[in-house]
Amino acid sequence: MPGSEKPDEQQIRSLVARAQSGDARAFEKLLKLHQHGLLRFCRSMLGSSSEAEDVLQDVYLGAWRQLSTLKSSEALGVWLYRIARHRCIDHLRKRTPVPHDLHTEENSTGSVPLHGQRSTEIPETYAENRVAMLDLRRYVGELPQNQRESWVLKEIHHLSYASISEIVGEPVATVRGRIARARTTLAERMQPWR
Amino acid sequence: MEVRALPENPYSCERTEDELWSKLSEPADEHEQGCPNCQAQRKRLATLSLAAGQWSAETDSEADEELLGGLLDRVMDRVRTEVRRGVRFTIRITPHGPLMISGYLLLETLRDAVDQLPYISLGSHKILPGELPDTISLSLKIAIEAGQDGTALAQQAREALLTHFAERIGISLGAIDISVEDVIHEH
Repeated sequence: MPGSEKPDEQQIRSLVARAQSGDARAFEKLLKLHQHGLLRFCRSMLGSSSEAEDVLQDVYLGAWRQLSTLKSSEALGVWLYRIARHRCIDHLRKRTPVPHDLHTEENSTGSVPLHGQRSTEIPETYAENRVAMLDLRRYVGELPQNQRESWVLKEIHHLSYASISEIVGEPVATVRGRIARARTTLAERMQPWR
Repeated sequence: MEVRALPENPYSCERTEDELWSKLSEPADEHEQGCPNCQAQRKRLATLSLAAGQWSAETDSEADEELLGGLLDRVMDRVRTEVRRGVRFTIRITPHGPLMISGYLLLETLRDAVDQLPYISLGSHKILPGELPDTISLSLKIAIEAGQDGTALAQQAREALLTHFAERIGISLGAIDISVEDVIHEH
């Protein structure tokens, strides 16, 4: 299996089987496939980079210790997101309530970073879009937790309704309703940016 | 179970916000072009769509790469420690006591032996106490590349395992159960 290429389904099945047999290297390869998405998801849920890092460490270790419960390699991503969601909710229950402000993960200076700027955008437009995005993150952070997680999984991680339903353990119709309500709220809150 | 209806359609036409959102990246169709409600809602949703798209497309920073690399290293250190602490197998009873060997070492030897072979991909595998004294048994599932002879490859794997275990750690193998479970198709 070439090191840098994304493995295909058969290779993932093999990696899962090996990891379940105690092969730590196979487990590491599996985590690398999902680590960026999981970090973003934990940040979206918790609104804090440092807390997301702590929780993600628990997610990884939990995944290793629960590997035998993974029934199908096709569901690996869903299974990992489900563990991440549980850990985030546990963490949110334990912590003292603090304002959920996703701005804080950007930088400490308050300036707008230009990382990833598209060459076709003029800086003013780019900066405005960037600030709009940061506002959106804040509004998402203020959504009820069950709407927030479903909206983020759908619109930021582009998971299907069926996958989100598996992750959050609710029927597809419930998930659709939550996402729709979140969208209505967010669209209203983003109106000043029109 | 939470059972709540979708938000009521606030528009006078039949198009729901869900429908408009799912087609927002496409040009307005004939109805939408002529419907003031749909036009207004498309504009309303466009701001959210743009910001969500930018969030979704945001690439990970170098700092994130470093963070994730360090995090994975720390976790894998703990995982490897747990793996090494795992089960041990008695491979010989001597007058001075049993001689044990780590299951981790046995599994690594198994993987090394199979991974060097062409056309084979190792799947699940385990070590079992041998039925004969001073032996251990192996059970493994493999995938083979399409067009290859599964029987011949399984025999090659068996021979490689016998050689590896004998030469590397001086262990005699009992049963070696190999099951061909999957076929690897070239893309």
